[in-house]
Amino acid sequence: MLTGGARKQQFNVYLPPELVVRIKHLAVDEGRSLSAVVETALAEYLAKKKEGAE
Amino acid sequence: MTAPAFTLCPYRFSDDPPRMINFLTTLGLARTVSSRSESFAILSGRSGRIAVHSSADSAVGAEPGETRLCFETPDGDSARTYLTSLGLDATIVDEAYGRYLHVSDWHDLRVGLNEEMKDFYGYRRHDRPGRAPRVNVVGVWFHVDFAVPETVLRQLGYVPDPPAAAGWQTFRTAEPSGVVGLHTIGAESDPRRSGVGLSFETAEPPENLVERLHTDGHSDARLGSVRGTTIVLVTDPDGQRIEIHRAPR
Repeated sequence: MLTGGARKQQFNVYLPPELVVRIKHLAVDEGRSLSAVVETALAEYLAKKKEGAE
Repeated sequence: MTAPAFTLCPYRFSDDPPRMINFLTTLGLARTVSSRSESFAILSGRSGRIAVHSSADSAVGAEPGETRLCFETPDGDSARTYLTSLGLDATIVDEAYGRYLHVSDWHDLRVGLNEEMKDFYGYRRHDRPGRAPRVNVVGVWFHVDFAVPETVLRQLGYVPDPPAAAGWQTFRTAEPSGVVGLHTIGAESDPRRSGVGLSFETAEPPENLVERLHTDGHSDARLGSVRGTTIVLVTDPDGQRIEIHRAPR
Protein backbone atom coordinates (compact mmCIF):
# COMPACT_ATOMS: atom_id res chain seq x y z
CA MET A 1 0.00 0.00 0.00
CA LEU A 2 3.02 2.21 -0.25
CA THR A 3 4.30 2.84 -3.73
CA GLY A 4 7.53 4.10 -5.19
CA GLY A 5 9.28 1.03 -6.62
CA ALA A 6 10.36 0.83 -10.27
CA ARG A 7 10.29 4.12 -12.16
CA LYS A 8 6.94 4.60 -13.90
CA GLN A 9 5.16 7.49 -15.54
CA GLN A 10 1.82 8.63 -14.20
CA PHE A 11 -0.95 8.51 -16.81
CA ASN A 12 -4.23 10.25 -15.99
CA VAL A 13 -7.37 9.34 -17.94
CA TYR A 14 -11.11 9.77 -17.34
CA LEU A 15 -13.09 6.53 -17.04
CA PRO A 16 -16.63 5.59 -15.99
CA PRO A 17 -16.66 5.08 -12.18
CA GLU A 18 -18.15 1.56 -12.59
CA LEU A 19 -15.22 0.54 -14.80
CA VAL A 20 -12.75 1.92 -12.24
CA VAL A 21 -14.41 -0.14 -9.48
CA ARG A 22 -14.35 -3.30 -11.65
CA ILE A 23 -10.68 -2.96 -12.52
CA LYS A 24 -9.79 -2.22 -8.87
CA HIS A 25 -11.67 -5.31 -7.71
CA LEU A 26 -9.94 -7.42 -10.36
CA ALA A 27 -6.58 -6.18 -9.07
CA VAL A 28 -7.60 -7.17 -5.52
CA ASP A 29 -8.74 -10.62 -6.75
CA GLU A 30 -5.44 -11.15 -8.58
CA GLY A 31 -3.36 -9.75 -5.72
CA ARG A 32 -1.70 -7.27 -8.08
CA SER A 33 -1.37 -3.52 -8.10
CA LEU A 34 -3.88 -1.48 -10.08
CA SER A 35 -1.04 -0.17 -12.25
CA ALA A 36 0.11 -3.71 -13.08
CA VAL A 37 -3.40 -4.80 -14.11
CA VAL A 38 -3.99 -1.71 -16.27
CA GLU A 39 -0.54 -2.13 -17.82
CA THR A 40 -1.39 -5.74 -18.74
CA ALA A 41 -4.78 -4.76 -20.14
CA LEU A 42 -3.32 -1.98 -22.32
CA ALA A 43 -0.40 -4.13 -23.52
CA GLU A 44 -2.74 -7.00 -24.44
CA TYR A 45 -5.10 -4.62 -26.26
CA LEU A 46 -2.23 -3.11 -28.26
CA ALA A 47 -0.86 -6.56 -29.12
CA LYS A 48 -4.31 -7.69 -30.27
CA LYS A 49 -4.73 -4.59 -32.46
CA LYS A 50 -1.29 -5.12 -33.98
CA GLU A 51 -2.11 -8.79 -34.67
CA GLY A 52 -5.35 -7.79 -36.41
CA ALA A 53 -3.53 -5.27 -38.60
CA GLU A 54 -0.99 -7.80 -39.86
CA MET B 1 -6.76 26.60 6.60
CA THR B 2 -6.92 23.95 9.31
CA ALA B 3 -5.14 20.66 8.66
CA PRO B 4 -7.49 17.69 8.16
CA ALA B 5 -6.81 14.62 10.30
CA PHE B 6 -3.61 12.81 9.40
CA THR B 7 -3.51 9.71 11.59
CA LEU B 8 -0.15 8.00 12.02
CA CYS B 9 -0.23 4.57 10.34
CA PRO B 10 3.31 3.28 9.78
CA TYR B 11 3.72 0.26 7.52
CA ARG B 12 5.60 -2.75 8.87
CA PHE B 13 6.74 -5.13 6.15
CA SER B 14 6.90 -8.62 7.59
CA ASP B 15 7.85 -12.06 6.32
CA ASP B 16 5.27 -13.50 8.73
CA PRO B 17 2.30 -11.10 8.89
CA PRO B 18 0.03 -13.37 11.02
CA ARG B 19 2.72 -13.61 13.76
CA MET B 20 3.32 -9.85 13.68
CA ILE B 21 -0.42 -9.19 13.83
CA ASN B 22 -0.73 -11.51 16.86
CA PHE B 23 2.18 -9.76 18.55
CA LEU B 24 0.57 -6.34 18.10
CA THR B 25 -2.72 -7.72 19.41
CA THR B 26 -0.90 -8.98 22.52
CA LEU B 27 0.53 -5.47 23.02
CA GLY B 28 -3.04 -4.18 23.10
CA LEU B 29 -3.84 -3.02 19.57
CA ALA B 30 -7.09 -4.07 17.88
CA ARG B 31 -7.33 -5.38 14.34
CA THR B 32 -9.77 -3.28 12.28
CA VAL B 33 -9.18 -4.45 8.69
CA SER B 34 -7.46 -7.49 7.20
CA SER B 35 -7.08 -9.12 3.81
CA ARG B 36 -8.53 -12.55 3.08
CA SER B 37 -5.03 -14.01 2.83
CA GLU B 38 -3.91 -12.47 6.17
CA SER B 39 -1.00 -10.88 4.29
CA PHE B 40 -2.24 -7.42 5.26
CA ALA B 41 -3.98 -5.87 8.26
CA ILE B 42 -4.54 -2.52 9.90
CA LEU B 43 -4.52 -2.42 13.70
CA SER B 44 -5.68 0.52 15.79
CA GLY B 45 -4.35 1.75 19.09
CA ARG B 46 -5.83 4.26 21.52
CA SER B 47 -4.15 6.72 19.17
CA GLY B 48 -2.45 5.83 15.93
CA ARG B 49 -2.60 2.73 13.76
CA ILE B 50 -0.18 0.23 12.25
CA ALA B 51 -0.44 -1.53 8.90
CA VAL B 52 1.23 -4.94 8.64
CA HIS B 53 2.08 -5.83 5.05
CA SER B 54 3.68 -8.98 3.67
CA SER B 55 7.24 -8.14 2.63
CA ALA B 56 6.96 -10.81 -0.10
CA ASP B 57 4.08 -8.84 -1.67
CA SER B 58 5.77 -5.46 -1.32
CA ALA B 59 5.73 -3.39 -4.50
CA VAL B 60 8.33 -1.04 -3.02
CA GLY B 61 11.10 -3.55 -2.42
CA ALA B 62 10.82 -3.32 1.36
CA GLU B 63 12.89 -5.76 3.42
CA PRO B 64 11.34 -7.99 6.12
CA GLY B 65 11.27 -6.03 9.35
CA GLU B 66 11.42 -2.66 7.59
CA THR B 67 9.03 0.06 8.72
CA ARG B 68 7.98 3.04 6.62
CA LEU B 69 6.29 6.19 7.81
CA CYS B 70 2.72 6.68 6.61
CA PHE B 71 -0.38 8.64 7.60
CA GLU B 72 -4.05 8.08 6.84
CA THR B 73 -6.51 10.86 6.09
CA PRO B 74 -10.32 10.53 5.84
CA ASP B 75 -10.72 12.32 2.50
CA GLY B 76 -8.03 12.54 -0.17
CA ASP B 77 -9.58 15.51 -1.96
CA SER B 78 -9.74 17.63 1.21
CA ALA B 79 -6.16 16.64 2.05
CA ARG B 80 -4.97 17.57 -1.43
CA THR B 81 -6.71 20.98 -1.20
CA TYR B 82 -5.09 21.59 2.19
CA LEU B 83 -1.59 20.51 1.10
CA THR B 84 -1.86 22.59 -2.09
CA SER B 85 -2.82 25.62 0.04
CA LEU B 86 0.56 25.18 1.77
CA GLY B 87 2.30 25.43 -1.61
CA LEU B 88 2.97 21.69 -1.87
CA ASP B 89 2.60 19.71 -5.09
CA ALA B 90 0.14 16.97 -4.10
CA THR B 91 -1.42 14.51 -6.54
CA ILE B 92 -4.06 11.85 -5.90
CA VAL B 93 -3.22 8.42 -7.28
CA ASP B 94 -5.64 5.48 -7.54
CA GLU B 95 -4.63 2.05 -6.37
CA ALA B 96 -6.52 -1.22 -5.95
CA TYR B 97 -7.01 -0.66 -2.19
CA GLY B 98 -8.02 2.98 -2.52
CA ARG B 99 -6.21 6.23 -3.15
CA TYR B 100 -2.99 7.80 -1.93
CA LEU B 101 -1.44 11.23 -2.21
CA HIS B 102 1.92 11.70 -3.83
CA VAL B 103 3.59 14.82 -2.44
CA SER B 104 6.53 15.48 -4.75
CA ASP B 105 8.21 17.80 -2.21
CA TRP B 106 8.47 14.83 0.21
CA HIS B 107 9.56 12.26 -2.37
CA ASP B 108 13.00 11.63 -0.89
CA LEU B 109 11.60 11.38 2.65
CA ARG B 110 9.44 8.31 1.93
CA VAL B 111 6.44 9.67 3.79
CA GLY B 112 3.27 7.87 2.65
CA LEU B 113 -0.16 9.48 2.73
CA ASN B 114 -3.14 7.18 2.18
CA GLU B 115 -6.82 8.00 2.05
CA GLU B 116 -8.65 5.80 4.55
CA MET B 117 -10.12 2.73 2.88
CA LYS B 118 -13.68 3.18 1.62
CA ASP B 119 -14.14 0.08 -0.55
CA PHE B 120 -13.51 -3.08 1.48
CA TYR B 121 -13.88 -5.52 -1.40
CA GLY B 122 -11.49 -8.40 -0.71
CA TYR B 123 -10.94 -7.26 2.87
CA ARG B 124 -12.57 -8.09 6.19
CA ARG B 125 -13.65 -5.46 8.70
CA HIS B 126 -13.39 -6.38 12.36
CA ASP B 127 -15.64 -5.21 15.15
CA ARG B 128 -14.15 -2.99 17.80
CA PRO B 129 -13.22 -5.04 20.87
CA GLY B 130 -15.24 -4.57 24.05
CA ARG B 131 -12.27 -2.95 25.81
CA ALA B 132 -10.73 0.11 24.15
CA PRO B 133 -7.07 -0.21 23.12
CA ARG B 134 -4.68 1.18 25.77
CA VAL B 135 -1.69 1.65 23.50
CA ASN B 136 -0.48 4.70 21.58
CA VAL B 137 1.48 3.98 18.42
CA VAL B 138 4.79 5.83 18.22
CA GLY B 139 6.57 6.10 14.88
CA VAL B 140 10.26 6.73 15.53
CA TRP B 141 11.71 8.73 12.67
CA PHE B 142 15.52 8.63 12.56
CA HIS B 143 17.01 11.61 10.74
CA VAL B 144 20.26 13.55 10.69
CA ASP B 145 18.51 16.68 11.90
CA PHE B 146 15.06 17.76 13.02
CA ALA B 147 14.49 20.64 10.57
CA VAL B 148 13.18 18.75 7.53
CA PRO B 149 10.99 16.18 9.32
CA GLU B 150 9.68 18.83 11.73
CA THR B 151 8.51 20.92 8.76
CA VAL B 152 6.60 17.92 7.36
CA LEU B 153 5.08 17.06 10.75
CA ARG B 154 3.92 20.63 11.35
CA GLN B 155 2.34 20.64 7.87
CA LEU B 156 0.38 17.56 8.97
CA GLY B 157 -0.79 19.28 12.15
CA TYR B 158 1.68 17.66 14.57
CA VAL B 159 3.20 19.92 17.22
CA PRO B 160 6.15 19.20 19.54
CA ASP B 161 5.76 18.07 23.15
CA PRO B 162 7.93 19.84 25.74
CA PRO B 163 11.55 18.73 25.09
CA ALA B 164 12.50 15.55 27.00
CA ALA B 165 16.06 14.74 25.95
CA ALA B 166 18.76 15.84 23.53
CA GLY B 167 18.30 14.19 20.13
CA TRP B 168 14.73 13.10 20.87
CA GLN B 169 11.50 15.02 20.30
CA THR B 170 7.93 13.75 20.21
CA PHE B 171 5.11 15.33 18.20
CA ARG B 172 1.33 14.94 18.59
CA THR B 173 -1.86 16.40 17.17
CA ALA B 174 -4.67 18.01 19.17
CA GLU B 175 -6.92 15.01 18.48
CA PRO B 176 -5.18 11.71 19.32
CA SER B 177 -3.66 10.53 16.03
CA GLY B 178 -0.55 8.71 17.18
CA VAL B 179 2.85 10.02 18.18
CA VAL B 180 5.88 10.68 16.00
CA GLY B 181 9.25 10.75 17.74
CA LEU B 182 12.21 12.31 15.96
CA HIS B 183 15.51 10.69 16.81
CA THR B 184 18.76 12.14 15.51
CA ILE B 185 21.32 9.91 13.84
CA GLY B 186 24.94 10.53 12.88
CA ALA B 187 25.71 13.15 10.25
CA GLU B 188 27.55 10.49 8.22
CA SER B 189 24.20 8.83 7.49
CA ASP B 190 22.49 9.44 4.18
CA PRO B 191 19.52 11.74 4.97
CA ARG B 192 17.57 10.28 2.03
CA ARG B 193 17.76 6.88 3.72
CA SER B 194 16.36 8.02 7.03
CA GLY B 195 14.88 5.07 8.88
CA VAL B 196 11.70 4.45 10.84
CA GLY B 197 11.09 2.22 13.84
CA LEU B 198 8.09 1.23 15.91
CA SER B 199 7.60 2.08 19.56
CA PHE B 200 4.59 2.36 21.85
CA GLU B 201 3.16 4.09 24.90
CA THR B 202 0.82 2.24 27.22
CA ALA B 203 -1.41 3.07 30.17
CA GLU B 204 -1.04 -0.54 31.39
CA PRO B 205 1.36 -1.37 34.28
CA PRO B 206 4.58 -2.60 32.58
CA GLU B 207 4.77 -5.72 34.79
CA ASN B 208 1.36 -6.85 33.50
CA LEU B 209 2.44 -6.37 29.89
CA VAL B 210 5.67 -8.35 30.39
CA GLU B 211 3.69 -11.20 31.93
CA ARG B 212 1.25 -11.26 29.02
CA LEU B 213 4.10 -11.19 26.48
CA HIS B 214 5.77 -14.14 28.27
CA THR B 215 2.48 -16.07 28.23
CA ASP B 216 2.25 -15.43 24.49
CA GLY B 217 5.76 -16.86 23.91
CA HIS B 218 7.81 -13.66 23.78
CA SER B 219 10.30 -14.94 26.33
CA ASP B 220 12.80 -12.07 25.98
CA ALA B 221 10.27 -9.46 27.17
CA ARG B 222 11.70 -7.69 30.20
CA LEU B 223 11.60 -4.47 32.18
CA GLY B 224 14.17 -1.80 31.43
CA SER B 225 14.81 1.80 32.34
CA VAL B 226 15.09 4.96 30.26
CA ARG B 227 15.73 8.33 31.91
CA GLY B 228 14.59 6.96 35.24
CA THR B 229 11.28 5.50 34.06
CA THR B 230 10.42 1.83 33.68
CA ILE B 231 9.83 0.59 30.14
CA VAL B 232 9.18 -2.81 28.52
CA LEU B 233 11.73 -4.19 26.05
CA VAL B 234 10.91 -7.03 23.66
CA THR B 235 11.96 -8.37 20.27
CA ASP B 236 9.10 -8.52 17.80
CA PRO B 237 8.53 -11.48 15.40
CA ASP B 238 10.45 -9.62 12.65
CA GLY B 239 13.50 -9.42 14.91
CA GLN B 240 13.16 -5.71 15.66
CA ARG B 241 13.71 -4.33 19.18
CA ILE B 242 10.59 -2.69 20.54
CA GLU B 243 10.32 -0.27 23.48
CA ILE B 244 7.01 0.32 25.26
CA HIS B 245 6.99 3.45 27.41
CA ARG B 246 4.45 4.73 29.91
CA ALA B 247 1.80 6.88 28.25
CA PRO B 248 1.67 10.46 29.50
CA ARG B 249 -1.30 11.10 31.79
